Amino acid sequence: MKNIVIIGNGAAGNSAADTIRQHDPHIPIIMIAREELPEYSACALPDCLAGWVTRDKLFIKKTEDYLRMGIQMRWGQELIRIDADQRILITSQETMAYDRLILATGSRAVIPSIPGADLYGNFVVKTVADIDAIRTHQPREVLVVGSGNIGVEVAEALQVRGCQVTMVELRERILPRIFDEEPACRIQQILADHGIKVLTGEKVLAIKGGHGVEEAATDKRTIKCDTVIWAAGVKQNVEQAQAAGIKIGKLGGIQVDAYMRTNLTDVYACGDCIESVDLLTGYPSLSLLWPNAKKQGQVAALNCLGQDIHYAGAVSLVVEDIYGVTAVSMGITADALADRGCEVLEGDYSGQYWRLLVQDDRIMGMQSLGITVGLGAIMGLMKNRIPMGEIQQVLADSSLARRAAWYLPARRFVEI
Amino acid sequence: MNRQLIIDADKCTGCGLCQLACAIKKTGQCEPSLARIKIWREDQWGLFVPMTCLQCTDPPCASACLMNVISKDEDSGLTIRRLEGCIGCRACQAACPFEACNYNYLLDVVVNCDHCGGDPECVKFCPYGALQYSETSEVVDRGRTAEALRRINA
Repeated sequence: MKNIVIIGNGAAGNSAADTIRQHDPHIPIIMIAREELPEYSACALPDCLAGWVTRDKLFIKKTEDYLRMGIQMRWGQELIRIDADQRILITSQETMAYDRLILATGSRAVIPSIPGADLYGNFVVKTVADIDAIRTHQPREVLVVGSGNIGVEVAEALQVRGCQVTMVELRERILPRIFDEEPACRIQQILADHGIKVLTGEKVLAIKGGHGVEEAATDKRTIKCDTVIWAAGVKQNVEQAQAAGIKIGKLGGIQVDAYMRTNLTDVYACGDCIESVDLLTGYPSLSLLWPNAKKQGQVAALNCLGQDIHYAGAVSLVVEDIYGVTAVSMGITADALADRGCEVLEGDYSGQYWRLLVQDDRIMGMQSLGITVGLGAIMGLMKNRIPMGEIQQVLADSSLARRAAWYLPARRFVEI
Repeated sequence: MNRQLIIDADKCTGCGLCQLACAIKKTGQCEPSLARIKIWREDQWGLFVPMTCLQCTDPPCASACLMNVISKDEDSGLTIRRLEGCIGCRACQAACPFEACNYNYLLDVVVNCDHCGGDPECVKFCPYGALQYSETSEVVDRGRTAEALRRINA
């Protein structure tokens, strides 16, 4: 093998590069990336905006780390075209040959094409450059559009920094993909208690202003603001891959098999740009979460090196700190299980709330507020698809439980 | 062969000395919640299970970490953390099946057992031999024999 080219310098790209280096100290690795920055944690960007995490601390690698690992950095370059027949890549600055290609092109935040969305004062929170731009802008009155985890985290971060924050969500409740109605309402209440105005079931139609953003018009009212943060979803960066003949799935991500192979020989893909399967349902899913991207990067790298490694599927795990309350969602929500329905086991006392979703005797998801103990046990049992019957059997028998002590912290959640 | 922290729950009485020893050694505070070892208590059975980091080969905490601070030390096989990078988000805690990630509120970081660099304090203080620091093979054999006997006699 002459070289491996990785496109992307995010979680998946770096995880792939690290894995290749661990297994092969010599093979040339070339990394092409748009940003001219070493790897940083995109998950911590809202924390940086709030001032809890310094900008320096965002960075996971230093430029020297790439040099030490012998990764050839081609940063500040845009991928223009992939010629799969000739095995050639054309970037904005050069043309290079590749032997194996790993696409980790990620995703980008979407700003819908509504009037005024191009005015100064419209931002997204996806990269360090976005954070820098927001800080330079010094927002006072902020409209956050979208209430996924980024939307909620950014709303909290800016409120803590002293901004007047309004959050608008198109759906009837916040965090619609991550939490069910009950926990979402509780989180919404916490946000409201801290002065964030949450408007659900409302659509932003236009942004108005002269030189910069001055107000936003929704289908129900006008909101005065000097800053609009778009956290209303992402789009997979797949255009060049698609143009090269790589198959795109129904959900908009690059289609890969369980070995992270695309339909083109020796071209792999991993991270936000792909469509993988959900470990629990087996259905195609866009995982869009840091841990899944890392795992996919590893799998792509190992298969690229000729090993035979199977990716089991993506599992979602989201941990949020909502004004000091730990909110956790793992697995799937009740909405996503709605076609066949699920049983809900709920608990609520002294500031702790949880709900466990069970379908066909298997744990499919769990959401909790104010709980930190026992979640890992549920995660383990869920990922290993242990039937509820078996869990309850172990927890009822002291000699079995003694030998399988990791079931014990799950007891309070699974007992009926 | 690396030595491991071996837990024998049958011998544990739940006295909690291991937690105090750990907390004092690692944080200087006499506070069990700061210990990297926890005793899981099932009072109805009189069952006490000390739980701590099992130093997984492919640790779920490392996959979950948003700041990539958790890794495997190649020499010792331990799961180690670059604590200056930790932002205390607690994702590792939600991913660990063994309740082995301990949130240290004094430093706002999450930590796990590091075998005290090869001389675990908890082992020294356990009065009943429920915690041992030794090579695995020997202990596993003993455990297997005991379980086999139990099944034959049952």
